[in-house]
Amino acid sequence: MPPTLKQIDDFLALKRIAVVGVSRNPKEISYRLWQELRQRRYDAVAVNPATTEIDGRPCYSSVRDIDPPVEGALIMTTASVAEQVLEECAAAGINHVWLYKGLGGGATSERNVEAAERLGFDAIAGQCPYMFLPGTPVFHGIHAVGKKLTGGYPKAS
Amino acid sequence: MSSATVVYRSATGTTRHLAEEIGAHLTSRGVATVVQSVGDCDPQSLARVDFVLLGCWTSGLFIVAQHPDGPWLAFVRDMPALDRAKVGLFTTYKLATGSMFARMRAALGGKVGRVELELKSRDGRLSQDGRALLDRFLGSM
Repeated sequence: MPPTLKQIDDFLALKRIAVVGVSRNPKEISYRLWQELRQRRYDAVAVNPATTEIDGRPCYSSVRDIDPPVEGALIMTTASVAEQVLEECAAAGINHVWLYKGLGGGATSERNVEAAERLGFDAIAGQCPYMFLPGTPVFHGIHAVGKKLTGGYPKAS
Repeated sequence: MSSATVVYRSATGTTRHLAEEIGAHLTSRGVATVVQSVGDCDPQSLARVDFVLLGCWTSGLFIVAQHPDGPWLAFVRDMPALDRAKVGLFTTYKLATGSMFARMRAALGGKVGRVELELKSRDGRLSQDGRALLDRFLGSM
């Protein structure tokens, strides 16, 4: 089921958010989105088991290790590992999760959407947060327009 | 030793790169310099430094309506009046900066006496002209 704009607004109203699957490569979308959230004064916490810090910031191997805990998790891993991340989010007591999907794929799959429902999340499946951030760069705005034209943009309710 | 803070708002990393090059240049001139994003910098800390450089990518429709974006404007709104610091602005752009600096100056309102430097770069690199501008900015203290 497509997410609603209210779900997206609720997620973006959170302050402390884990970004799971942040790359150390500044050209990768996960790194850019993590930086974007930080510049917008979110307390965006990096999660990537392959490293312990990114840009001098602590990077956690799992959402379960984050202290103090986060309110939500933006999952930017591949779909194949996202189900395990969902399990870890549930174990960490996180209520809000966003299974990222951009132009080049993401964490969303039918299996992961089912897992999110089974685990009781208020999950956003698909969509790229960039499209919903105020004053987003024009190319993300074009992505949103494309979604609206093809019916893939979230509805109000 | 004098001190500087370089604060940037970057959408793709280009403005961040320019900020880091500006920071490296200031450091090479003996200025204790901190480079931070608008998300990391405490606006109140700017009241305690000698030089403040505020940078933002050029948002707009490529050749018209250029303006600083929301996160930069929010940071400036939270900034105290900078009575002590000399203030400079910088931006990165694709085709033209147009009204960018005017909009940045307008956003600063009465918090800054005078903007002493406006520096721009297409690719995020600090040119020789840019280095010379920075040296004049430092030297006119």
